Amino acid sequence: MINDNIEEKINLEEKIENIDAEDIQEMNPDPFNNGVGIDGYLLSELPPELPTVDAGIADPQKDEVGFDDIQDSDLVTNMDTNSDVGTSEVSNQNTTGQLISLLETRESELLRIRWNDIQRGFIDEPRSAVKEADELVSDVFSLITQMFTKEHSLLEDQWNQGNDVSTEDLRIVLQHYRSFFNRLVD
Amino acid sequence: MNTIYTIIIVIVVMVILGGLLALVFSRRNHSKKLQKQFGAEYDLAVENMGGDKKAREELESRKKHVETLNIRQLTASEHDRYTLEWAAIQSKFVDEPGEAIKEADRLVMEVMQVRNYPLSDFDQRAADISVKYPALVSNYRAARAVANKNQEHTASTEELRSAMINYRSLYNELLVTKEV
Repeated sequence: MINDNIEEKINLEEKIENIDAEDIQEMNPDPFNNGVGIDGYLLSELPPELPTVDAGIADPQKDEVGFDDIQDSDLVTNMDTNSDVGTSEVSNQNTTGQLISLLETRESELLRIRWNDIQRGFIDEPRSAVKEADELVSDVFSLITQMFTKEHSLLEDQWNQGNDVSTEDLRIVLQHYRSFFNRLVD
Repeated sequence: MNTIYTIIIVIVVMVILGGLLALVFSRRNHSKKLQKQFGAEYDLAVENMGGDKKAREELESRKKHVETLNIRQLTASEHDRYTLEWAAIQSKFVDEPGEAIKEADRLVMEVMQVRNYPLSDFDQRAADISVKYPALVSNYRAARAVANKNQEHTASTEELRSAMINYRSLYNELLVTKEV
């Protein structure tokens, strides 16, 4: 009765394997209200805790010009003024982290259901419960590894594909790397 | 004349004998019926009450008592609720086995009361339950024995685990809701 949805487990590993830029665009076609604010910050990209991190990392609020002055309404679709190729691709891919978090949330629900079943099953088969817990933990571990590996490779694709990557794109990619870095370090 | 007297005497004796036999057989029948219904509980009663006759009387009075109680089944929503409550304590066992046992004992008692078994001490509860659930009352007693041990902190986790399973066996039966 309680365990019905365990049968509908998402095969997350497969899903992650198959993520590419188009999927991200599809799932999150317009992450920002006003389009892709390329000129200014990708506001959703900045983690709140950023300014207090390690001295080695640039403080965005200092180095970037006019941050405080930029409102959501200031962000317009600036694709035309920016002639760089592949710009939209880059900015849409900043949602990799968000996408994976989204999948994470759903999957972690299912993982929790799995855990609850294991805990509930203890009194019937203590040893099996422990064994299953071990398997679950291994699964979670490999899932996390896979997610981060995928995210890493998606990031790499953003600048490593041999086509001309503008400085602007590189700037943005570096921001993505920073986000990723922060998530890992945290 | 003598023949007629003899015949009459023989008939009377046979009637008396017949009556006595009938009495003996009906008692044995009654015993067998009770034994069949109560199983091990019958033997326990014989031991506790000191004899067949007293055991039979005890068990008969239990049956009569429970008949007067108007025991009802759980409603569908009560059934669901108590199913969830048990699942919760079954999970809780991993963190607090001792607490889980106490709550198991309490849940069984609660469901009994919801079903109209009267509030009473354990021995009375066991006696009441033995009428409709004779096969499970020994589990109930065994579980309770471990719960008592737990009060003195002398029960091992494995004993507590078995006790949970024993409580559950009765609990699940108490929850059974049949289409009438």
